[in-house]
Amino acid sequence: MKIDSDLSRRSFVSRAANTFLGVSALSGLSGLARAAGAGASPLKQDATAKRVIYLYMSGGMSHLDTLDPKAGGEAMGPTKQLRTKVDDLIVSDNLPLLGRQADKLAIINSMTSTQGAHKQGNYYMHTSYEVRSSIRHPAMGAWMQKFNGKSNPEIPGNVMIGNDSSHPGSGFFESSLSPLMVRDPEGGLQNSKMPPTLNEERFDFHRDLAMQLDAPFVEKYDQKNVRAYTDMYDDAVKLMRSKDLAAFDLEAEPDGLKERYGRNPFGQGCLLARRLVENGVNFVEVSLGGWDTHNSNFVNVPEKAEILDSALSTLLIDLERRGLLDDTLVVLATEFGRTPEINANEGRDHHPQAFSCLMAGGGITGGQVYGKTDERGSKVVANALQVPDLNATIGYALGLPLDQVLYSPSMRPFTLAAKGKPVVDLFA
Amino acid sequence: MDVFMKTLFSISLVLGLAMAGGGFVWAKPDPSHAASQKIDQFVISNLKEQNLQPNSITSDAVFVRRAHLDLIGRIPTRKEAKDFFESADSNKRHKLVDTLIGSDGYVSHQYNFWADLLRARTAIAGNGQSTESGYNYERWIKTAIRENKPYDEMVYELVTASGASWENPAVGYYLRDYGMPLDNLAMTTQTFLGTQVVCAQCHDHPFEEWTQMDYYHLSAFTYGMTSTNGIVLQNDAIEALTKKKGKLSAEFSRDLRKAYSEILIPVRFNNVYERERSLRLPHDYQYDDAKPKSVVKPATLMGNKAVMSPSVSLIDSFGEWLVSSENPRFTKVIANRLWKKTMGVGLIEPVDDIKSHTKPSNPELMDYLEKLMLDLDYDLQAFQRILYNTKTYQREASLEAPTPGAPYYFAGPVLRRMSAEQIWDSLVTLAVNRPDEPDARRELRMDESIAKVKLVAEAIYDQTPQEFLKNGLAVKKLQQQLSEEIILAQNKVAKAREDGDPDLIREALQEVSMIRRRLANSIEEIVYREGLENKVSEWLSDEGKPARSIEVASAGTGDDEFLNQLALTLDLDERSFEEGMNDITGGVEGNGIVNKVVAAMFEERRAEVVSLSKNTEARQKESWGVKGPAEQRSFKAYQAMERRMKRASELNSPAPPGHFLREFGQSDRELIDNSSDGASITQALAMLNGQALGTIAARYSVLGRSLPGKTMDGRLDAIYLAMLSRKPTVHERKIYKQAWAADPESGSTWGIIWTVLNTRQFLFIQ
Repeated sequence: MKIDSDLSRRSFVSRAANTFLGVSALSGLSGLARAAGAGASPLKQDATAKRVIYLYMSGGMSHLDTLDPKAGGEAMGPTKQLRTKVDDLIVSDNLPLLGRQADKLAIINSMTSTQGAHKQGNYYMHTSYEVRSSIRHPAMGAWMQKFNGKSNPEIPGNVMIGNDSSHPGSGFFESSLSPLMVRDPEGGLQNSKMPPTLNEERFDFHRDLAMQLDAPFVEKYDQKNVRAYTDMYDDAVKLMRSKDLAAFDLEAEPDGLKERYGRNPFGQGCLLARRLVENGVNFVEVSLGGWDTHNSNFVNVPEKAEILDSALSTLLIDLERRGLLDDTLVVLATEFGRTPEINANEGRDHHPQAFSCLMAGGGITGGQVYGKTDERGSKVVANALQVPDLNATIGYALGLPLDQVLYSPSMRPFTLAAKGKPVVDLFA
Repeated sequence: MDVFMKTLFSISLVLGLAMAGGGFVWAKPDPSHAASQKIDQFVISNLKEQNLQPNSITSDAVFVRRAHLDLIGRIPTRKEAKDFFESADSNKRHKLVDTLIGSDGYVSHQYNFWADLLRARTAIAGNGQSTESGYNYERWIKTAIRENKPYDEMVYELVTASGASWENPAVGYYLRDYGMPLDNLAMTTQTFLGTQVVCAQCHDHPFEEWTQMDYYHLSAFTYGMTSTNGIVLQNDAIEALTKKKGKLSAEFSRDLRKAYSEILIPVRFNNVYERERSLRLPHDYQYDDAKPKSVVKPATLMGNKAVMSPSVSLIDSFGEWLVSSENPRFTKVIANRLWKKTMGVGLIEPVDDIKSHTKPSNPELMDYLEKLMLDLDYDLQAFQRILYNTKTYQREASLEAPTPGAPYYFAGPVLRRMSAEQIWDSLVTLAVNRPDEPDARRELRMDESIAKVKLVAEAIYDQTPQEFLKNGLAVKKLQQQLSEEIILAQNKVAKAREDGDPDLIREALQEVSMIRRRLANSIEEIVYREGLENKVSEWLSDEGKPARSIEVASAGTGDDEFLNQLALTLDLDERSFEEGMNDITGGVEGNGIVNKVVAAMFEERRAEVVSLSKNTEARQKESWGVKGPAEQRSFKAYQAMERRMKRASELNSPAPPGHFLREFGQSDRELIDNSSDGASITQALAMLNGQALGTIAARYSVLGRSLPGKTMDGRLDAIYLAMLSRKPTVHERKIYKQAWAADPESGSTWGIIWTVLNTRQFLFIQ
């Protein structure tokens, strides 16, 4: 589908490495990495999840007002605790619907990050590596596809729904592993419908004409990148006519369900995510922005939380009803938490020292809380979990080889999750 | 040697080369012609050694398209192509190169090259409160290209840049890597010395001679280049207070700092200064030559030692060393990069990972180009003129792509897919008149935004610590008051939510956002009013205008007509583009006093922009005969399209993911030269089904307007000339004739355009 240019830095370097360094093969730079290195990892287990829906709360979700509310006190403002049917699993009153599904959730209240700025924190959470000017690290979806390939060859294996322009994409991996961007979930896959001036017959007629006209050029320049464009056009037309394209189309979903997910880009994005994983897309990220509540935290968080609450709780039920929840890992992540101190603008500032994430489905044991912060939600006091550990846990659920080293084109060694340790206790 | 010294000596060297070149005698000796010939000789003898033949010289049709795409980044217009074909001048290729180099289109195209190399982003640092610095940096780069600033000067100014972004826009070089001084150094060596030392940031380089200590020694030069935002003033103010009142309580101090951070938001990411800051080894330094965390002294990596003296700042010493003609890689790297830009592949590949054992594919030619660059005193336009006037460049592209890792001997240039920007800019050429013209609306927005940050910063820095303290305390007090109001409003929202009344919720939410806006406006009143009053009267008297108060000065901004025009400039497509760049926000919130002052300052400029666009509109309507309702609709669509179809260099960059430019591989500007020319399905979808067709085949697009009244054959000729810069071949005509016989509708304008747009040859530079 995507072929690197003959002259890309990557191929030059790999060639140079072969010649000069005696490195036999750049494992993982072509084909499936798994095939290249048997590298059986002691950390690797049989996969409990086949696919991931990754919900990213951009801006830094206040842990205190969502998943780690405290029993009151100055730090809590008007936010209250909400008990659930699971003892000890408490959410804030901003997430009432999610609270009803406590038995499906593993809440992690001991996240801690080294990065306190948005861009850096977001990048760290997505890649397990700190931002560097000299390299781009791949995000989880690219790692997953690198190791496992695609389930459905007809459609992209990695999709990102939302407006997050800072997504690290495929990093130093080939760009075909980058997530396909869907900015408007209700708009479907961009440019996948014929222009209104054409019908199918006419479309084929003109395409055939273009091919005929191109024949001398293509024969003259029989080069890899020219051939790639021939293939690409064939693949594009195949996709346009594939029944799988319907995976991108929310029209088929009943209105009632759309309402329950929430008539907003994030709610509809979660619905689209479900359709996509159903059709063989193995990694879907949906982002929800606006969590950077330096101002009016107690107005803004409830507003965002309401959107999250409807979408996530409906997603869990929907996946379960379709028998997908058992092998679909749902992750809720964010770059950092927010301060227990309420600032002069009734807001909360960045707080990477302690924050919360959540996992459900995909082999995770529901109804548990992992880790703990102090009584103010300021510091982690039990089972601190670094960002790479969270990603290692995702990799573990997917049965990916956590210690297998893949090399960047510049010959630097990297592993999925940067040697983080998976939290095995979260699994049944 | 002083980098700014330009000597007559070097000019005589170039003339010397002309004589040495020998063979061909011109009526008027042209040294650059001799240099072109010399290059061809090196290439030919290299080919001979390999038993290879050079490719034949291209047709005019291939040349005119290639030269335009390579030099000004877009396909030629119909007129440009036609004029070239019709010229009988035997020297016309040479003249075309001369015309294109240094033109507006050249600046636009070269900007993409430099922006990719320097990773220049509109939101240059942080989360987007830095667009002014990004704008300033973009302009600085464009100006350097336009004025043909010698490369060594350009690099020296970048790496030694300090000051505020509006005084010295080159500070963008350091703002780009805000908070990452060690990475920035790695970028500097990779960009300008083609040398990757980044491994040595954490350990000795595994394959090269560089040690971690070398890396730290070199970083010690640039480590002091830091970004500040007026913190000094803030600390002075707090110190003054502490002196008077004794130690401040933690809470008081926190709230006061919060107030200052609120005040200083608009000026963040705009300043770089060299501070005395010693660099220490990391805590896990593992080698025996020094202890972890010990201080590292600056020392250079290759070539001569830096000349250091107490009267020269560290960063200036570093700059002199970097761009010195004695530096073994500085000249080689730029000569090789420009060779690659011209021919499609470097004499050394990769261009930015030169190792001790690296050998160019043609060492004599590499040496010659290096010497040529020095002799030309780093005049990049002159250097490129020589390369583009070689026979080597004017040959047909090689049939086979170079084998990665194997040397390429330049029988001709390499067949290349157009860059994302070249594809986009070519569509712009087919869509709108004067495609190379800068965007007046965007220029205005940039000027306003730059003026605003300058105004605000000056109003702050003009204050004494005492004044600044007074303001800080006032803002702190204000925040306390507003915080109480927020709590009231917040309860109201909670109550409305409980009642489930959507109207009440909306109303209450609005109230909260009003409080926020009031805070921003009040801060402006408190902090800036006095300073701005002074600035405005200064400005009024400079402009020779009668004195008036800020409110009166800005009275014109309520003009409905202007607001309408402003709304037009933010049409739908553009807005969604901006929305995609969610990090391009920030700046001063609200419509407070600062915005009023800026609006007043730009009143006339805005009026000019508005009237200019109105005149253009009237002229177009008249000459295109826009009358009936269908025509009016098409014209409206054209206007919207015209605002969107600006050259890539005139858009905020990088474009957001999913944008046409990004789909075709525009660099995300995160890594050096990170663009890609690989194929993807989404590209095919964009060409088959996207807006490209509607854009170029519209009734009033440049292409659309050239077609009415023509026969099928005439339309075919016009479309081929516009899109592929040539006539259809006999074979192609035959194919069309057959198609038209089978299906007359296939000869429709959009049918032909769609077909040509979806040929592969449209995307390639032959």
